[in-house]
Amino acid sequence: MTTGTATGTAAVPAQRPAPQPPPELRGRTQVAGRVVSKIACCAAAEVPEVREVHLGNLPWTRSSSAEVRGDQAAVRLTVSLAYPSPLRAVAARLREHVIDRVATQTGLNVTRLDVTVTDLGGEPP
Amino acid sequence: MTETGPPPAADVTMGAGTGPAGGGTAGDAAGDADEARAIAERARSCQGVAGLSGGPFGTVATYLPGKRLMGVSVNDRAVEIAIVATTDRPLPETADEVRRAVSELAGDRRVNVRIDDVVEGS
Repeated sequence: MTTGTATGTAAVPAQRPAPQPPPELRGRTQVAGRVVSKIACCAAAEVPEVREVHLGNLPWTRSSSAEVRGDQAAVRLTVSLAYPSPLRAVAARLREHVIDRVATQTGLNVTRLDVTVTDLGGEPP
Repeated sequence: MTETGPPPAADVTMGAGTGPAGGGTAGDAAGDADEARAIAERARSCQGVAGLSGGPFGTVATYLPGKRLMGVSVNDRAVEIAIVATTDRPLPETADEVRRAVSELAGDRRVNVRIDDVVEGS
């Protein structure tokens, strides 16, 4: 290193390598669709007017499922509700609760949540 | 090989910030097997991990002489771990803990955690 300033050349210090992120941030976390589907079904069952959530393990039955793309998830739920209950209001509450639960549990945003009501009955909550 | 000590230091020092060498120097098979076993051991002992999983169609696995180690797959640029998690804890936290637990074994490589299934947490 020369300390002469009259020469007109400046020594550029070598760049420091970029700091490494902490170890827990190095890499991806992937969540499988069936995981989201299970969590969404458990969350839906917590809503009082929901009598049953149809998991649909058999291919020809109406079922609940979830698809994950990146950090977004699309969920389909098939439920039976108590009668009488305000369907739209219950569906809205269900949507809010499930989206909230999936977000806290998996860190994914549910961008679409389709609710299919296949059945009504039983005693009111 | 019965001892599951840390892997030989030869294959954990990679230049930071630079991509892996194009040639891809494969470590000797015994070293790889030990490393995969040690990583599996660490991942299993994390809180919120119920067990290891084979990944989709059993694709995440290490072939050891005479058997397959499901759930961990190691190469020279990334470590893949597939787990079955418990529901008593947010999944990103579990994944971060797994990453932290295996970080010293992984060195500079990325650790990708895949959550394949969940079971009721105790």
